[in-house]
Amino acid sequence: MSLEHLTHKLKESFDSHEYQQAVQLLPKIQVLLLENSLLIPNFSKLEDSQYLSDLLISRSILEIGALSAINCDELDKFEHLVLQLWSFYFNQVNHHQLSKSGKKNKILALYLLRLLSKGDVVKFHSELEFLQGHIKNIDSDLYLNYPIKIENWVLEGYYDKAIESIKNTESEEKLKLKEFNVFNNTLLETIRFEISRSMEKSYTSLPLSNAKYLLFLNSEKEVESWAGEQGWDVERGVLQFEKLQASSSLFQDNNEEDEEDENITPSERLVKNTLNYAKEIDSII
Amino acid sequence: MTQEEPIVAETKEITQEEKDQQTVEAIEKALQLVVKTVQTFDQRYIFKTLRDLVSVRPQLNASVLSKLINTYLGDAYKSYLIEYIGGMAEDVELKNEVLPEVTFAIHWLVQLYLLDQNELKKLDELNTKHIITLTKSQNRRSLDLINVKIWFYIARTKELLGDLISIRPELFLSLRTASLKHDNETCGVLITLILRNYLLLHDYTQASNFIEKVEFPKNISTSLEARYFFYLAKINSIQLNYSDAHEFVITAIRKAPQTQNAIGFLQVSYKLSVLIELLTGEIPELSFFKKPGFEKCLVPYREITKAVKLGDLKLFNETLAKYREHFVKDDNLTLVTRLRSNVIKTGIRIISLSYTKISLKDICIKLHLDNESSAEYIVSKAIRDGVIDAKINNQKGYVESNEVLNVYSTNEPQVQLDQRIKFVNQLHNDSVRAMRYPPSVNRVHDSLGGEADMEDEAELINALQDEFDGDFF
Repeated sequence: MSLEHLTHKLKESFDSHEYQQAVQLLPKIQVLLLENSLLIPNFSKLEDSQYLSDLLISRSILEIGALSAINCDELDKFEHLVLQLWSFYFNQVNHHQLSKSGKKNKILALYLLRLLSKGDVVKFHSELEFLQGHIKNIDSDLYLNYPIKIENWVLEGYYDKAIESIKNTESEEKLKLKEFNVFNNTLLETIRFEISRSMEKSYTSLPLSNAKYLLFLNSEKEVESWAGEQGWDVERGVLQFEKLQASSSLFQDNNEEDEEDENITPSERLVKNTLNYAKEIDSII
Repeated sequence: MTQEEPIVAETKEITQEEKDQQTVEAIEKALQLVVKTVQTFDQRYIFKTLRDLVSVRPQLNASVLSKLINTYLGDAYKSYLIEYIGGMAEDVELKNEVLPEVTFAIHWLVQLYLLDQNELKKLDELNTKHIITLTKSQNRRSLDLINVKIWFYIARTKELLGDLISIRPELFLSLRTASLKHDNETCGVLITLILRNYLLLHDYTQASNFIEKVEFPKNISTSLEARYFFYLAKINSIQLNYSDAHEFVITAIRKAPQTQNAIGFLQVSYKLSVLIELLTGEIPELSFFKKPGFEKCLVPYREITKAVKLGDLKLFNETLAKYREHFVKDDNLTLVTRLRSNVIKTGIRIISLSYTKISLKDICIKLHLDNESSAEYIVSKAIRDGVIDAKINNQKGYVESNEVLNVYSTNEPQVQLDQRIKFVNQLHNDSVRAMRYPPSVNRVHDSLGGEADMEDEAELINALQDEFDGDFF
């Protein structure tokens, strides 16, 4: 099948929301693009207007592919496609036509969200820093603002705001880009996990009904099963954390000592340190 | 008025000529030292030469340079250098056998001159057409230090022209050649230049990948090391690795020369160091902001520190809005915005210190939060992060602090003391390692030599302390 034919078919299946089909078409197209050296832009040939317009088409193919991959929940594939698009969006020649695309900010926002839902905060921040250098007014961009907002809230502990914004499927950015919703569940799960870690430390006991609100679960049954996963004790409808805290603090102490020196008593450590200082002073003199 | 002008110009011309003559002499004197380097294999003489040459920088002009070029360089270099500076070619008898070091140094002077004249396009052309090929043509260790300077200005020109990417392949290629030749100085400068290139484009992912792959050479100029550590600090801080970043930025500050020339670098490093310290949860002392020469540029940072110290979110937001431009210019805005959560944390800590029991609603009001459930989440996160030691009572809606243990009954003071002693020892060991000694051949010579050598030595030490360029940032 020719490239044009395949591209046409890809677009058709994307428009009719047959994402699975679109994703299946993609590898074939990528091979063809590679054969025509369109998958990775060749910057020395940008003068050629024919080549440029071909590149623009191949970019939109990749964009469609990325969006379809998200819709099929094939997130690794999505990441891979974003990396390919990267060389179109940000490159050394900074070609106006090539780097400007209607879908660019959407896809980048989804990419950031993907990093966030994976819990890869380090990468999230490095990429964000990069994007801030390359896109003006990133904070006021409708799409890109969403992942940034969520990350900020989670970092500062405004879990309720983050949850509210994730759950709200009617907000402006989500109506315009429904792919944001793909990440809702993973994000909620990540946040719930974070909250649980805080809860363990900050309450001695907590009734299931209250925990239900804190963990934004729908019923006490769900709380119980969640508590089971976390290894929490439930006694007469109340979550008990005391035992957990006692054991965890013990565990922590042991851990620290293990790391430093193999379980030695304080006085032994004092002797060891002092000997060390003596050695150092000796070497100075 | 109109009549007076020619007279003024005339008197000026005479002094100008004299001045030129003096400049040429100064440069020639400096170049003599290069010869000494080649004879003794002692790199420090080159340091001295370079410093002397930097000091004549303001007096450089076309006639001085063309004179130098005419006396020292053969036709191959003469033809194009003269063209770039717009001087006159003369056929003067060449001095017999000119060292490549001298050739390089003159090229470097031409770079400086064109940069000062703001002839960036011309300079860039000269760099890409001739100088890069020139740097590849020789393989002499005594050239390393001059190469460092030349590379710095090649990259600097590109930077000023805003054309950062096209230089990258050339930098990488030269880095490879330099590491094969064990040319540590050039390696060092190229690594810092590549990092700078990445950071200017905010490409932190690439920069950290690059650091993983490359090994920074040892035993090179401290100024290069200072730069390298500064970039490491910057990258680590962006990647949320504050404790490492803090260590790196402290090293960078310590390694930077404490002279007037390096003030720009120190200012930037201090700014970064304040932010990193705040992000690790520490508050810099007030005296830090009062260092002479830094007081003015640190004002925004002082204000931010104040807001963090007070835990006042409102004040923080106001300060951020007020100095936003500053932070953007310093490229620190992301780090500053991350401080928001620290502001909240200090706020909570202050509250927990002053109250043993307080309702969530009151916390809400004190911290300007929107509602109680936000407050509950935030307090519980603070407990988890170890900011405060307290428990929340959900049913009754209050927070109760745990009783404070007497710290002196624990091992804590001893651990702290241990940390400090280790730090001081580390500092001592680092300083010992950073000392430089002349090669043993020279040392014997020095002890026998007369006063002239002693003076020489003192000047060399000065040169070492001083070598640093004004155009840092």
